[in-house]
Amino acid sequence: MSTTFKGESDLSAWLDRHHVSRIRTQATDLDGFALGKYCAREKFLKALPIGHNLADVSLGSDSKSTPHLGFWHNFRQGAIGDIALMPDLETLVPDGLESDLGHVICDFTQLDGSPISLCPRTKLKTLEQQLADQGLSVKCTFEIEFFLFNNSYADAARKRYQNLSPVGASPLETIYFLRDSFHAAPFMQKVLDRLDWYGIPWEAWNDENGLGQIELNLAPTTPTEMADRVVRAKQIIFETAVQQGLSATFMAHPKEGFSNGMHVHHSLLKEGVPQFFDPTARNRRSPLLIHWLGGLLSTMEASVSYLCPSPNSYRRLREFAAPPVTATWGEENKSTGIRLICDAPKSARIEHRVGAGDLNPYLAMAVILAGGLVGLSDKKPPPPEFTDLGWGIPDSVPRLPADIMSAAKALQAATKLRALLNPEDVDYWIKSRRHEWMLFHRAGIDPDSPIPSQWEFERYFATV
Amino acid sequence: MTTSPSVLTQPDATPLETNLARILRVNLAVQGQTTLRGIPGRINLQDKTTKTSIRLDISGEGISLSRTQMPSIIHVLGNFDPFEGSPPEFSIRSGWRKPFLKAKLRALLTPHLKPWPVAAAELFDRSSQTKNSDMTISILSKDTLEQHVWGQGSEKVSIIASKKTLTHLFNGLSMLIDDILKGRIQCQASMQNIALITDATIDHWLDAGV
Repeated sequence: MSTTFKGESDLSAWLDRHHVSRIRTQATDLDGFALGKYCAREKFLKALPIGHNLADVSLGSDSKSTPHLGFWHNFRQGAIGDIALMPDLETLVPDGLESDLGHVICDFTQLDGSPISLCPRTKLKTLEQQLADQGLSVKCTFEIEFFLFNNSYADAARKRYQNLSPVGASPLETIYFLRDSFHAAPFMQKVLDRLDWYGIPWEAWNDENGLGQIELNLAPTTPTEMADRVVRAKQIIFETAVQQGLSATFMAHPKEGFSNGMHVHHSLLKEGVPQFFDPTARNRRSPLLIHWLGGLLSTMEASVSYLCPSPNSYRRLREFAAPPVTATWGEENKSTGIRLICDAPKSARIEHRVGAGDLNPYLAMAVILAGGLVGLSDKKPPPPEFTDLGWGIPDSVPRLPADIMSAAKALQAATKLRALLNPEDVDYWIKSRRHEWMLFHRAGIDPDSPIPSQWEFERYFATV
Repeated sequence: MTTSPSVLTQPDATPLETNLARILRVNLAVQGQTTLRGIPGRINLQDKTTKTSIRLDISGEGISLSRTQMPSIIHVLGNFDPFEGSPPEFSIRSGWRKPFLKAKLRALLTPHLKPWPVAAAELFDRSSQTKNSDMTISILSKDTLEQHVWGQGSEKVSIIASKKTLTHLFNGLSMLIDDILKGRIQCQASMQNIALITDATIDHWLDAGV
């Protein structure tokens, strides 16, 4: 089992004790990609506390690493300069596979170490702090879904991502089917071993509905630590697939009829005590829960932009396809945008079901916290609980934005959410979505088709 | 006072649709409401490059654009995608034997291009990103040697291109960064100022604030 640096003070002693001579830095860009460098120990130590440099366009690039040349953010330099990756040493951990390698999660900062508000991890920490200022904290977890294929990444690319062989036993689209799970077990065992080594507690995994689809549930923790765990877990799944000659994809919609979601469970605490369950309140729902829900619902349309970041994400939002299509909520209702679980003090929580498998966990959690904060400020109740099935219903129930630009426009109009997330950063995000949308359409893709295009496979299959 | 008929797009409109809507808005404003008289209530268009189909529903109130295809007696095949920086061209495919109405339809769908200095002045005037900035933007048409300068800031931006390219750019048929990358425009400026002007041309291209 790994020993993280968290709680220790002598970095050199820790590196010596774990025989670490190389450190891999890891930061997450806007599209959720893991970026970083492999640094020699001496270089890593010398660059502390600010960290090593990298080109500023690394935080200003699209999902093909093409710099954003058509719009601007003030963190960038006039003629392409450098920014830094500041290590959060509390996340430093030995690799477990490569004996002399350590890993550390970083924030993008300016070269003097001052924060860059656009950095997704910095953004989430800012939102967490705003909650802390109100005496509140959040416990959360993400459900990670992915498709696993017997084809290597190279083979999948050679086959143009068509007719891949899913890991599993049955040609039927089963769920929780143990014979399918058994086929994936050797792969998952390696993944779980590495999660254990990294100190990432997991709760369960199972065969999901799509052929070769797996769901992994991590144990809940605070938002930034949880997002760190998600990006690390995804990297571990990718690396394990590479090592075993397989391929795994977190694409939101890799196949007609099947999608990867990333549901976010969360609850609010005050001084460590859960706040959503109130045995004296109507339906045991505390006023704090009602206001928080009200904020999540009033900002849900706008939050879709962060929860469904790519054009591919929107192929997932179809009636009766399992993901929600309306800004609705209901207790134990898995067809609404939000499912409330309010049966006991410790397990009372909100499951936000809109998120796509390709979301950036830092930004997704940040927009959820911002929505909740809007609710705490407005103190307005959510719309009436939705007790019916949330699909196939009349148009009078408003639908979530069905494409990347509708979502961007909803975000543009959400004044309170924008203020909490920093308007300049939100504008930059919106323009980055516009950029992705224009590239998508320039490729001559049918946006209404249930089948993902070659452009989407090439852009997202191995990257998100 | 007369008002121009409205041109509406669906919430999930593609760039092809938003751009065509912009062309229609400009043309209706220039040609007036009577230009729609006699034109059938439904026209199907198909883009030659992307194969995207667009339906125009025409009424006294205006035009709405959507992608859902319905039967129509008019089928227009053409280049409605201006990404390449050339104005849309089109041909009427079906045997529609009313030359006068055909000409009206052609006029409705053909982009109304303003001289580039006029279009550029309008763009710089309405763009919040280039307005009140520190830029001095100097633009030279290399074939006609016509030159104009906007702004009095300390940051110099020099744009050199053919009259045709500048006309397309400032009439919203292309984007600055695309033209630079494709070698159609020489632009000497900081990355920030290239980004700010490109942003304005994209907004203009989409006829939208987002």
